[in-house]
Amino acid sequence: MALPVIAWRTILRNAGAVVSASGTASEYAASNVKDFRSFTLWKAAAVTSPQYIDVDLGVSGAVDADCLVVVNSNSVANASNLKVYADTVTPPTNVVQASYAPTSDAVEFKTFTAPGAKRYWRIEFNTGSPPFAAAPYAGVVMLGLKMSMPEYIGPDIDPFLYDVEAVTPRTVGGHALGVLLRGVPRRGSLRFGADAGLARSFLTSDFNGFLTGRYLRHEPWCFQLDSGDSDFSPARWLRRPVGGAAPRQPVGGTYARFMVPLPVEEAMMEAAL
Amino acid sequence: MTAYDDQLAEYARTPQSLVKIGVRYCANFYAQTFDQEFNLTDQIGTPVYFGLGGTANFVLNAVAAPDGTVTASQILLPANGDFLRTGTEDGVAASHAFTDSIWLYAAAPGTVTLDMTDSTASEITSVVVSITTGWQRFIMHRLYTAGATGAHRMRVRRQAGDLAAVYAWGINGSRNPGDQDADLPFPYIRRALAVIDNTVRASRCQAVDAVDGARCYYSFPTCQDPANFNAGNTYEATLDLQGLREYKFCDTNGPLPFPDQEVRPYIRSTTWAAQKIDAQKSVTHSDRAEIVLNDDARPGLWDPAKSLLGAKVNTALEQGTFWRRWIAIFRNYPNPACYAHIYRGFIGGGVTESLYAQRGDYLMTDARLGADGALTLVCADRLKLLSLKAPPKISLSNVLTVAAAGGDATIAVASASEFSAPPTDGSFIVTIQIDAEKMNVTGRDVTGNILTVQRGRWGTTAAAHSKNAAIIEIMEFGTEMATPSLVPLGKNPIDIAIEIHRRAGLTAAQINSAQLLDERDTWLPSTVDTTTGATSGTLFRRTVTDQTDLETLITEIREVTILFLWTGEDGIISGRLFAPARPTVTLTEITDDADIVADSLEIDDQDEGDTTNTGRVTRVLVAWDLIAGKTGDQVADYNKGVAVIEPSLEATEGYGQQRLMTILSKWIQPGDSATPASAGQHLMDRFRLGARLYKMTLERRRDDVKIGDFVLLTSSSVQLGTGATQSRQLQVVSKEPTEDGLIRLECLDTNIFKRYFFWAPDGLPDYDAATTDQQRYGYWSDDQGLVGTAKVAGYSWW
Repeated sequence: MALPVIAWRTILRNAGAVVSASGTASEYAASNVKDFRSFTLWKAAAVTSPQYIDVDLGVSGAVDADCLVVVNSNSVANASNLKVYADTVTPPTNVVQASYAPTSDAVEFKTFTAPGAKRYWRIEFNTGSPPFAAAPYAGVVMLGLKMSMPEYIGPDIDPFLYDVEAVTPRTVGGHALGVLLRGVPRRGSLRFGADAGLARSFLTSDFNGFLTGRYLRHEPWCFQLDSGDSDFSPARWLRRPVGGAAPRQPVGGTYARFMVPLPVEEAMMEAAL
Repeated sequence: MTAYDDQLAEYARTPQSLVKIGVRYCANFYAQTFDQEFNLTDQIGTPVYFGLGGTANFVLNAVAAPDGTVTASQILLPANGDFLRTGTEDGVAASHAFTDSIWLYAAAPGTVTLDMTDSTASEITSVVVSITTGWQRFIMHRLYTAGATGAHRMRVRRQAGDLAAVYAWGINGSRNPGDQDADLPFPYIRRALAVIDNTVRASRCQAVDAVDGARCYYSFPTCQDPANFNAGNTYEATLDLQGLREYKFCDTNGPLPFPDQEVRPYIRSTTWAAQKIDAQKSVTHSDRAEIVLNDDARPGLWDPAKSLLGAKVNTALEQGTFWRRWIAIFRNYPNPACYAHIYRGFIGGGVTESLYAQRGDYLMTDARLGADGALTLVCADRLKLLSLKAPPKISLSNVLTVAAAGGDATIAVASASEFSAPPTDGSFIVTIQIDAEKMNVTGRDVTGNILTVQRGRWGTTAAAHSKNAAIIEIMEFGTEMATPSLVPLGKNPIDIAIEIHRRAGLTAAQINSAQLLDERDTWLPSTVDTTTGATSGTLFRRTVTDQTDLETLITEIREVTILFLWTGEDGIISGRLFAPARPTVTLTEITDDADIVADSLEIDDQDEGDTTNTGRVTRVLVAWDLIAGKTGDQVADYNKGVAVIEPSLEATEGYGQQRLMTILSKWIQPGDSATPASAGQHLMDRFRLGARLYKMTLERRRDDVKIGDFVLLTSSSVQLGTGATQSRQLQVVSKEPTEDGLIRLECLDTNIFKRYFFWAPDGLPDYDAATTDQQRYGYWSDDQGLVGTAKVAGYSWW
């Protein structure tokens, strides 16, 4: 079993960062990938390979990153590989994540070895048999340093839970006329710290930054329960539900360790069954 | 079956809504002007300014152009290599990029070659385009090298296999912003002058950019140069060239319908006040929808399309929230050119936008911002336009400024803009009256305050009028004689109804004239001979001088003719007269077992009423021939009347009471006694048994049932006295979706108990061998009015 990972930082939103692309279809600007909205897209202007998104962090803005998140793309459907470059020059040529085939168009999460602080980053979409069948697109792209949880989370999250509402009218004779389904965002709770709690040092540094910088702002983030298990490794795109709270509860009556229950819901609706 | 029907037929599906909001959007580039380079854009071929190659020739003003004017040319290319080309005075080719365009069509489909070249044709881009029998605008561009010579030009050329003749219009050419190597067209703009005219610009915004980021948002409320706002052309093929921008939204509580498009999941709910056809009041209540849309705290850039084209955009980034900004930027959303289209579809692999079915085409009439930033958008269908008043009230000071002689074809007025603009398609006539003379207005010069007129119309005689004579605008409904000074004839009521809708501002495409005219020709035919004055059938005639709601006029016509009017889900106004469903009309069947949700069927006799609003009538009175000077609000205001009475209904053993329906018509001509009698009889037939209303809920699968449809209901809730189920022929008068995705229908019983005689096509079998559908035609009966070996009831005449 691997420990849970939260990816919430994104260098694309750093102050002074300029996001551009190899080309953009009309009304599908490159800047759309950094707004946390999976429904606003960057779309390439052509189907030639490769296409890419570039990030220039500015003269004094170089930062490090060790994970990539792509939400709502057509990479799998389009047989597109992803590749990440990070460099001190532009165009960047230093490969930090070799070309690989993503496994999800809904939420793709990939970790790689952090190269150190770099100014120029590139996320490349390429295909082994160009051109692409369709212009590559992506709703959200995040690059940043992941937050690895020091412990496993509590059992309150059911990774297989689906909520589906259905309306099934019947005739006088009892015949079912049809079914209208309505998808409901999957909801649950991530209970960090379980019974033993999280170390106070973790809570007051990294985790607190996540809570205040992302969770409490209702902005979405990426979560992977267990990279070592194929059932639990698919990444999720989550956010705090309206009305959700994250009370930090001291464990054992002291403040040396804390338990934090995080109510969550899917930030991007999945098709109802 | 359409693709949407296939989705409906699935057993389990996930519904999704799609709302498209279109708003006015300027086609300029902010604070940037781009000249339109070509001369005589609607006179293609004019000598000197167009060059001919080989044996090419042309015919000016050959056919109607996309804008309705007869200014399109025919280009003749008898031999391969023939061409017609433009020239430009100052469109220097070298190192510059241009986008050129031209409208083309042909008598039969084929191809022709379009070229962009420098002055020596040393650099050339050629495209072979496929032309159809409808107008299309073809767009192409070229980035010339530094070595290109002279000015850039466009050619229409024939190569082997190309057509020998095409119709052409609207040639435009403009320099590309930033000399981008791409098609960057602007809406077509006319350049009438042959000389250099740099005031004719494809993009003409002359706002001064203060370089502080405070620019427009390409909306009229935020425009910094309103005089040059570029509203595009309605006849263009794409939204941006039509001067529109579209935002798309889907349900929040559902998956994204098209992940590869920007569709914002903001829709919180949609509620309808369903359109209702009120048979008794002859009014169609507008279909009204309220769409509640969630707000978004990070709205981002407003003009990504413009910025990607290189235009300057407002640089205020990610401040405020979506709807609070939208309502400030697009404050003119009630403009009738703006719209809200609602579609319904389902989630599924391979589902595209084209598979979503349109549910409504609305005007946006109001917007309410909630405390949480959510927007409630109130929408109404286009019948709302009928609340307009006409004719316009002309100011007392708007008089003849110059005396007019009896033969003058133009008259000078104080303010020409107060008068209605005559339509280019002749859908209605603008008429004015000075003293006793009526004139038709054929042209309006709002700068010079001149009206072009036809004198002595609508049965009047041209005469001299003195300076300062008063002028009023009137509406004449009728048909002028070939000699206009003779007394005018009437006009078919259906034609008048269509005309009134056009006066209200609806376009021809928004009215299902084909269906309305089919109804006219089947049930209310008429003829007029403007030479001899001979007429037949039902014709109405009226002059309206006082400003009146157009809806009132429509209602008056509907009352007498029993005309149902409604706005379809496609946003098109359609209608039917009260009459038996023809055998060629498929009756949609609705049954208990297959369609009706359990415990949802309700039946209301609607028998409760008073003398002014009767569900059921025992007598009908039609009054017509209005006495001069009377308002027409009561029976005594009319010279003539006819009454249809059913004594058996009023007898003590019947209903035991009188119920009177009164129709006061200002439209029926004084000498016409057949129309009132027929109207009275049909109204009696319609309402002798009341207007029973059936309300039921159907599963979404029956979304194929549309308002105005005839349906055949078979339900155990409708029985004869023997207890046997009776099928009833109903007409759908209301349809609305429920919150849980089902459909609520209201249907009116047509009370058509009899079978009516229709002429059958050749080859039908005898009655006994005929199918049920075939038996809907007429068969001759015996002396007792019975047909077939089973001796069942025969047929009646309508």
